[in-house]
Amino acid sequence: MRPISTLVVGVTSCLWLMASTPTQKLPADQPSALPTTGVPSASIPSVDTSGPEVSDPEKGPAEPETPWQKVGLNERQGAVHLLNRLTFGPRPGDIDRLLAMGLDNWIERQLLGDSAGSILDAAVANLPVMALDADGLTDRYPHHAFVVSEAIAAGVMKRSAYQGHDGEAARRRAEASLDAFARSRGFQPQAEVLWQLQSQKLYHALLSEAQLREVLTDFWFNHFNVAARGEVRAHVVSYEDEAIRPHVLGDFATLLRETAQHPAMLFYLGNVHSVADRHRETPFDAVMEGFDAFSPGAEPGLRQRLEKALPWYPLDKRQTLGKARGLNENYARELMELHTLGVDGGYDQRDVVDVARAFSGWTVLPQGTSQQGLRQLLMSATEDASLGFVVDGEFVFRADLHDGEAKRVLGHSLAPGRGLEDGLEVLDLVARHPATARHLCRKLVVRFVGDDPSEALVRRLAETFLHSGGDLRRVMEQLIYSPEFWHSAPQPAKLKSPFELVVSALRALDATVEEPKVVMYWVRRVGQAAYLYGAPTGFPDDGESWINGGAMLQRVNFALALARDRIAGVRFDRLALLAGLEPASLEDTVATLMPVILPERLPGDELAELAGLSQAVKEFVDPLAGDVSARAAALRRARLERNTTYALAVLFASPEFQFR
Amino acid sequence: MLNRRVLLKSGALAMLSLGAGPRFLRRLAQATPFSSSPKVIVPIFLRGAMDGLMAVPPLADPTLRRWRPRLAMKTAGVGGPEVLDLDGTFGLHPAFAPWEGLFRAGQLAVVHGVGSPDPTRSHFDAQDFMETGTPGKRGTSSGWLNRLAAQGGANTSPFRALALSSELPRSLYGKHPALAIDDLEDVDLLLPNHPALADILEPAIETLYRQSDEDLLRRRSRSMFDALKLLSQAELATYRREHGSRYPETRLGRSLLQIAFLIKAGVGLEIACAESDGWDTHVGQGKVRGTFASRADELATAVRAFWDDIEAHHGDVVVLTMTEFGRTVQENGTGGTDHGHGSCLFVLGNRVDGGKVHGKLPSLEEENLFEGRDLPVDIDFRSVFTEVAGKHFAVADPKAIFPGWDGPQLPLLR
Repeated sequence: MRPISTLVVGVTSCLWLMASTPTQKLPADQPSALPTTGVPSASIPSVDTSGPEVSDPEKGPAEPETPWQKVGLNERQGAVHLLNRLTFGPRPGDIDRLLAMGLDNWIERQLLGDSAGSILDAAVANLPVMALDADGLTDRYPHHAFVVSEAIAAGVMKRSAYQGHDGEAARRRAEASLDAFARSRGFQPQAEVLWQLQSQKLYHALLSEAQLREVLTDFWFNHFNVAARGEVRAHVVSYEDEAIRPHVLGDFATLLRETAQHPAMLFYLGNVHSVADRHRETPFDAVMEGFDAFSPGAEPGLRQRLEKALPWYPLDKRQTLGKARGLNENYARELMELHTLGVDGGYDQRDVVDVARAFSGWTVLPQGTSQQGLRQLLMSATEDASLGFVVDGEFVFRADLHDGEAKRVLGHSLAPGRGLEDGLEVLDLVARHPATARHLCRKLVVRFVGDDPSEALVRRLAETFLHSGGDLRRVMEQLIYSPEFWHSAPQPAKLKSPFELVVSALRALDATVEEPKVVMYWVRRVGQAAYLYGAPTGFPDDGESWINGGAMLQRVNFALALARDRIAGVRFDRLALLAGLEPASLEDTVATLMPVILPERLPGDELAELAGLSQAVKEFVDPLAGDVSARAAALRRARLERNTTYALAVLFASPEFQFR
Repeated sequence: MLNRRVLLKSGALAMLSLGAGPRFLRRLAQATPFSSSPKVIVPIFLRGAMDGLMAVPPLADPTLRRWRPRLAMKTAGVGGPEVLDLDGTFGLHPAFAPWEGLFRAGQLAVVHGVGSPDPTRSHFDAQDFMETGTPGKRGTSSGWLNRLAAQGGANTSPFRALALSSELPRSLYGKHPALAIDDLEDVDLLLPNHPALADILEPAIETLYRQSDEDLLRRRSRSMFDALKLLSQAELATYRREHGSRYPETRLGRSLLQIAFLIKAGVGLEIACAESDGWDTHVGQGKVRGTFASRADELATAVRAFWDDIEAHHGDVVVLTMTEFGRTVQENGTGGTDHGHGSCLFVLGNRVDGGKVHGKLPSLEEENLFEGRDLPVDIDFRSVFTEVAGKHFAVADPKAIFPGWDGPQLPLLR
């Protein structure tokens, strides 16, 4: 029997054909006394009586159509589309909960992005790195080179011995001393930070009720990508948690500034090393030129100390490579090419150099016991505001390393003699640039609508971005209510990233995860080493990039491993998914589980048919039919388990499940 | 279709009787036949922009030391030169020592002052331009190696165009099927031990993909299932390296070892892409030791091991390195170099006009440099790629590999 809604939506695509099965759940707003024989209740509400011809003048002004109605979707199908595109995938019961809340209310709540996720908080609280700030994290999980230098400073081993210059025996002794030293100081291996970082990403995606915020956190982290390697690693926890997540539904300029001043970005794109060329005058030079130790109001002690000490500290001692100074253009270039304007955003090499000059002196407070002198000196330099030094968390603006001469950026002059304002003004300039609006909105459309973005939608969103001063919540709201977003519903337009694939499968099973590391290892196998993408572009966001012969294989393997219970620490109740039904054949099992795993997609029997099963199953005669013995019951249960495993493997491995 | 149905039927029935034959037997029976061409090209992309002036420095240009007081190596003087002397004009960074013999034997050629006519200094744009083969033109959907594959004959092997990487490189994007595999050892399905379930799962999933409306998934999964069938015949685990070659235990080393394995297994490999990362030496580039030296050492050791290993195939294999651009002639403030323009590349093969440095560098005075700071590009990378790929595969219309380009080929292959 074809449900009525098929007639309404049938024109859009066969993918939206409703599967009519005995396990079809009822939306919460329907009386549960309705017959359970399979008429999907979502076909009962006004959608069916309305349809495209609803504007009959005789019936008076019709209710304004919702965007999903306009493309011929009923409420339930609309809900599924929202869950597929704006969350990490529906869990059992999510569709009904969303329908009970109403689509508009749900969207509004997601746009607010408040999470009252006690389960999430509890899961994340179990990860020690989450409780530490960057300082504490660096203290407890320090960079290996740092442990080595501390051990040498503490006199427990010699550098020459550690580097193997004093022979193999001495090297081994040095390594043993290093291990003992690390233990005595409570240092933990830095790799642990990465695992915990990946684990919290998994927990957030699995458990947070603010799903849109998490999807956007994934998006914006990738946009402002850093790779959790080397000195960057210890800062990535706070980078995501403080610089990214709180701002993904806020003001873009704030998000941009947070990333620009964060140690993760400063280390990653090398701005920590970027200092004014030797021949340039720094604002500090300028202040000190006019400095007279006897002038009234001057704080001679501080200035004299700075004047004496700073030239010896071109940078943190560990990073110092001789006393040379010079620009590093890396951040300046990626800021314009990737973070804001886009590669066609109308800047040239001179802009890159002048932007690099504007950010010279944007660096990070030195860390470690051997650096305490410089750290204290820099902190104290901020006591005299006229010196221009600024400290914010671990960020420091060093006036003595900043190029204070005049600059020209995108046709805009930056006056000489300024300090931190140079960089801030550049950030403001690019944050509200029309090229930035287009670049960002295009990326959002590619992420949420499809790989081939509609220019009209990009233009409309870019206008909103500019008029609202970069209000990301308003841009997202307009995107969600755009006809293009809903038109994309019938086609399998967006291939899931490996992370989305894995998380959506776990959510579909309502699985609990006790070993997040193992799950994240699978994400990596399928082709996404979270937090380790080396290039500042972030992972590409199109199907062509995610899918190739090798990745295909691991997608299928993930489905097989999950269905077969071969992923350690993942638990789910496979028989509960059948909701008390006992399909006897494989085909019936696939058909029963289809609407659970892939709601509102292909009918289960069609998938079984596609998989070439039905032909074989026609021959199927249940050898246990009618047998009421205990042995038959045990055999039936074993068969049910096996068939469920099989069906889940086929469903998760199916082409349909690869799309959101 | 009928055969497939029958097979499935018997598979399903077998599940009930628990009497199916081993899975690999069926895979063998299904393995697609392909006509094999013995010619192989191994393009190695040096990602991050290799400093051509450090790899192959001019020996007698005094300006180099002025630009790079901390990076220029000794070419003469007390304690002897730090760089290897190639031909009296150019040197070779000492970390490339494993290649010196190949150069002297006339198998290895250097092309200097090579690069893209497009001035971009963005890694991503420049890599894109080089891999699509269309400098300055964004949005070319296919890669040059895919277009090369499309020119070939009737080789239907899934391994014909392969990348040893987790993602398909841009150069292999396109209509011709191409496969990206990070590690051949991972190429197997995690099927249940239960033979009957295994026997029904694999064809069921394969059928789903073959019938999918999604073109992309259908194409990519076909390569995957074909590769599975082929690999079950060739055993990587029992592979023996020859001529005492020792690959470095790195990703590049593993990739080249696996390429050697596939060449010898005769599975129809023609294009085998490998990746070498980490050439973006903004900081601490070093001289005889340092970031650059460690990258060069890995590359030279891996390629040398590969070349020794496949001695019997030297007539059929050509190795080509490429990098998106060169680096600034002047060192930067952090003991490194920033994004530049021209660089150099290496070509290795029996037919290569080797033992020479092709191309010429101007003296490194500021007025001779591109935009006053970078090595100029004298040779368009396409004149090298067309020559090497076109001649190696005897391509009928090499110009079709680089649409819209009509430049000269650089004579490099005999």
